[in-house]
Amino acid sequence: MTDLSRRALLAGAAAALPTAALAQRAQPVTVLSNPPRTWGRGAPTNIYPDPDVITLDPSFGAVSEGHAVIKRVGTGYQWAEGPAWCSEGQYVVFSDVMSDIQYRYIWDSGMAPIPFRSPSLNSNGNAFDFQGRQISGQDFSRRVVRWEHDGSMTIIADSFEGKPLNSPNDFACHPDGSIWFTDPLYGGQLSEGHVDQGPGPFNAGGLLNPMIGNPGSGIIGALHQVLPTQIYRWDPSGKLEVVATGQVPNGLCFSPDYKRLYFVWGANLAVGDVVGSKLQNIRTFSDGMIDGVKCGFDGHRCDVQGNVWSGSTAPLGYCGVTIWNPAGKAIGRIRLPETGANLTFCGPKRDWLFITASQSVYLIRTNTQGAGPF
Amino acid sequence: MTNLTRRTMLAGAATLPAARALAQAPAATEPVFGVPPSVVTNPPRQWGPGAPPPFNPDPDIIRADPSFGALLIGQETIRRVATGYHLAEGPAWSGIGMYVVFSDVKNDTQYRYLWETGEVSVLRKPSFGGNGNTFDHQGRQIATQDFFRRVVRWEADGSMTIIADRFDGKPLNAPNDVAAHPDGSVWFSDPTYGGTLAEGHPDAGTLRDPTIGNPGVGIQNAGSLQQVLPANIYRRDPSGRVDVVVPFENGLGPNGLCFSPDYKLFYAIRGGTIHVAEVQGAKLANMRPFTDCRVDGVRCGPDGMRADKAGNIWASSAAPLGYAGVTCWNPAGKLIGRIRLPETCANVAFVGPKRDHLFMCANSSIYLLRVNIQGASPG
Repeated sequence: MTDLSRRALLAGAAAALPTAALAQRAQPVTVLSNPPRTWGRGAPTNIYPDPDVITLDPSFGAVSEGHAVIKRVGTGYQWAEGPAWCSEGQYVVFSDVMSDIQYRYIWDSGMAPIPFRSPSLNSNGNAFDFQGRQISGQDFSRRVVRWEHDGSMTIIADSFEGKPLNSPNDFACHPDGSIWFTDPLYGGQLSEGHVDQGPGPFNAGGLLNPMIGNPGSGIIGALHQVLPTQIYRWDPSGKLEVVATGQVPNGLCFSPDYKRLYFVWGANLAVGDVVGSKLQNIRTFSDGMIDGVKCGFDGHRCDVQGNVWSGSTAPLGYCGVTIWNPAGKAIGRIRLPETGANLTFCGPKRDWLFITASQSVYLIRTNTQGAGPF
Repeated sequence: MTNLTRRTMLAGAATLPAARALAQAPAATEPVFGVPPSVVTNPPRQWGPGAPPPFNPDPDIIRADPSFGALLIGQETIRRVATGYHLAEGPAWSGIGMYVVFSDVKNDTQYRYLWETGEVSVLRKPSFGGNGNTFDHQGRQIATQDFFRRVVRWEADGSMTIIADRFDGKPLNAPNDVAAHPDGSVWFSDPTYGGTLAEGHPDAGTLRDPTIGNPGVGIQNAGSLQQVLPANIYRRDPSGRVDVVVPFENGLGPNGLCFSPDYKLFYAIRGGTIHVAEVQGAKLANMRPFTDCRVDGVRCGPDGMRADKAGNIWASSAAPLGYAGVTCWNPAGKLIGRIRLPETCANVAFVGPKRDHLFMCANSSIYLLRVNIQGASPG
């Protein structure tokens, strides 16, 4: 006898009406129910499978874990971004771009994420290369840096053809030692880095003053963004090359075999073929439409089967995570109560999904592993 | 007027005749000094969060030679940052991860001390009798496992590789301490301590039964049933080849080891003394005694050690109270200073973002001291 039918029986007994017990099915709380699902340490347990993990295609069942629920493991951020898993150190690093702090979630402690680097100089995307070194973009100083094994920091790229970079945003490390990164304009906003001095795309009329709040040690990046938004390949020799130009890029990642590069290209997710140091045959991979709703792309990662897991910017009910198979078909999605900006696979077996979603970070176990080591 | 003289005056005022005498004939007041509690005072110095504020200069940091002063920061005092272990060992600093990994060998747990919070969490349990640790020049953790009698490496992708478990077809004893050379080689000592009931598993066929408490992976997989090799020091080449660099001789069992900052010298603890030799490629030459670790005639038995950037050797000391802690030797083998701890010390490492803190694994507790020098090598 289950609890539910027992309760139905008792209810029947109370009414002194010997009716046949009716099965009572309760609806689990979700991000859409009223009142909505609650989160955090005090939240009640939710039922397996998680009602906010939605299968759009039966193939999703092979990569999603039925005995898993979404957990919120940290909250209180302004704009959580750039999660990356350090296998050596067993932690997830991520950025709160707008509050100028880089946090890390320590796997073994399971405690709320702790400030790791503060100030982070508005760090945004993060990645670990194949030698386990941390790559970070710094919106404030408009550059790409690498944290070395001996604890020192190296500036990987801050200019292209003598012109300063805009605000390197997201990173993908190739086994050939190269780092592919996007260079949109977002760090030119007052909240995420610093505005251009004088009129600029985020400083109409030049009214905003980038020197206010400048830590003052000369670490402010270029005073003007001058380059088009592009995607670059940084060669281990130090050479920087443009691999794609003409749209605004954002997140990017390689396919598990490193033969394809996925990247946000304007409003769509694009894919190109990686041929040596070049990117060829760039085409639209997905327009992000699910049920007629636009699920905007941001950061994304591939699993070992080649599916693309992407953050989703969309109205409540569709924001969170979308999952696309290698043919560009939506196979599943994860509803979150906030916009999903970026995600990474993490955990000792690299089988958990860590999602940086606006003001919070969420964790859920999957039945697949992240493609890149990091 | 200082607090001390003021306090003296007030004390005088409490006894009327004395106060009158003071008023009538103001005599010069003798300064009164306190004695800051130390490891050797009675009652002894207290440690941990509830301890009273420490006094500087720290009374338990002892300068044996004026040159030691250059390695110290006068305001810094020894702090106990964690306690409750059975045998803290094998500290190593991850410059990427900003944490110190260390082993509690007898508690079968590998912990880490997180730099930003100062908190300790369990990194690996069971650690299979994890003992010595280091990080190689590619940032990978090298760890020894007394239970499995082997040396392993944690890779950048999260997987684990066994890098040495035998020599010449015979199983290793209990790899203990490790040092990574920039040429990619890993040097490790292979004493027999992992053959104790407490630290790993005993040999089969003795009174002590190695199958009791075996985690169940099959004792045949849990290292050899018998220790058969002499207690050598080995060099594991990146090719996988393992060679003896210091054969066991004259009963000198090996333990901790480290390189000089230029990697031209190799220091090894052998039989409770420190030896040094020149590194010539994959071989060692001119092995000789560096110090017998005697201080004031007291044996300060070394276990683990690290070199600083100036080439000084900071060695742990297992000795009676008053001499237990850390000894520091200059490159000529002269004692220049020492640190008294309330416990015997097993091993040390330079840690922190600038690698300028000495992290001391002392039996049941971890002690930390900021210094004015950096560790020679990453890890």
